[in-house]
Amino acid sequence: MNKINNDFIIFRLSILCVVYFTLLFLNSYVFNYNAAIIGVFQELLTIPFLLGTLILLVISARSVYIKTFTFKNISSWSFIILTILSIIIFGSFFIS
Amino acid sequence: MKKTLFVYLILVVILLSCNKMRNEDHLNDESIKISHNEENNQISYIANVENNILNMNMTIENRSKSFFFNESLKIDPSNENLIADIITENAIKLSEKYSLQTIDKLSYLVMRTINSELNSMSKVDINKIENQGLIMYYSLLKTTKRKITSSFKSSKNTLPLISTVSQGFLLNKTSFIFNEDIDINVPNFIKFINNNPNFSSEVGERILSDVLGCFDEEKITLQDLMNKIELTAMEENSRTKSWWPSGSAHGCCGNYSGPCYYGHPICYIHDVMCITCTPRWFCFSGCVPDAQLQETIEISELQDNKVSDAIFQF
Repeated sequence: MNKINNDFIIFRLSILCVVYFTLLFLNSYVFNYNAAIIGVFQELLTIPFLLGTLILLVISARSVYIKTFTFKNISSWSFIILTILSIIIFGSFFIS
Repeated sequence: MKKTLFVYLILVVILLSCNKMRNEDHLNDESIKISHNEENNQISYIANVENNILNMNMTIENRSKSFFFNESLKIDPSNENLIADIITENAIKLSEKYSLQTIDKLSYLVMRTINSELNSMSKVDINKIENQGLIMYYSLLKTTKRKITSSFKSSKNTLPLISTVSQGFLLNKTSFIFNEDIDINVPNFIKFINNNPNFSSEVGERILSDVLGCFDEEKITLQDLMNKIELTAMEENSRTKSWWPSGSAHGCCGNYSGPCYYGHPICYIHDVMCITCTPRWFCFSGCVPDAQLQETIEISELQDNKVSDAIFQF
């Protein structure tokens, strides 16, 4: 029961990461809001979210490795979401 | 005897025609004459360069005799301060002679002449100082209008009439114009900067946005903007020299003008990672690359073709 709860928490946190980075992308390429307050929160939160994404990816990968990969398993979905997100955000640092 | 007389006569005729041709050539090479009819008015403009001095004369004659404009100007094109001084001096004289309505009508007629005559010319011909003289007359009339309007606004304490030759003209990028005659629509310019993040992304975008945000008026002149930018740059410079970090310093969270309100080690790491402003999503759309922060804003950049007509109104 406790294990299932942990998987749900990881899934919710991975969704939170997706939402945060989606908002960042939208602001940079679509809305272009230059408000100082947004900039303050962005600078403070982006690096923790980047590290969080990596940590969550490792945890979900470990969970998938232990339970074997199935689409019924919620940690598999967390792993898929976090892998795609990591490829996009870390890949963008190398593609100018 | 008859034969000798005939030879002399032929020689005199040849000499006279040669002299006449030389004079005509001289006129064709050095002088520019423009004659234009607009509505019920005859506009004549003549200009030539002699000893590096541009001599110009413009006559605008209304056939119904409602006004007659005849003004000569002598300008040294190599000295931009002198050009501004001469035009301003003449504008003050004209403001005492003509009403605002007449000046409006005259500037309209000169603009119509410019449009009609210069549109058919090549870029090289337009850049000839004799043709630029025609545009100087337009500036003269616009300056006169400014003088009359400022006299209306402050009848007691008349402000000095200042005219600044546009840097675009000095850099040979635009036609002659005074910064004071270029109107900027502030909301449109801010909208333009927000909609075009690539505009001036290397230099000045943040400064421009900040400076434009300080204006309460909807319409300002280019010179107003330049003065404010200079003042802001001086303030920023003195602030960066002080012990308290500015809002754009490394380690300060966010990127804004004025003193830093909140700093954090995470923000310092973020700022260091964003020295080149890539990737854009990570560094925020208002990011300014560090290496170019010291550069000043070139006015030529403002007058670049990329800027829509909605921003600048001549």
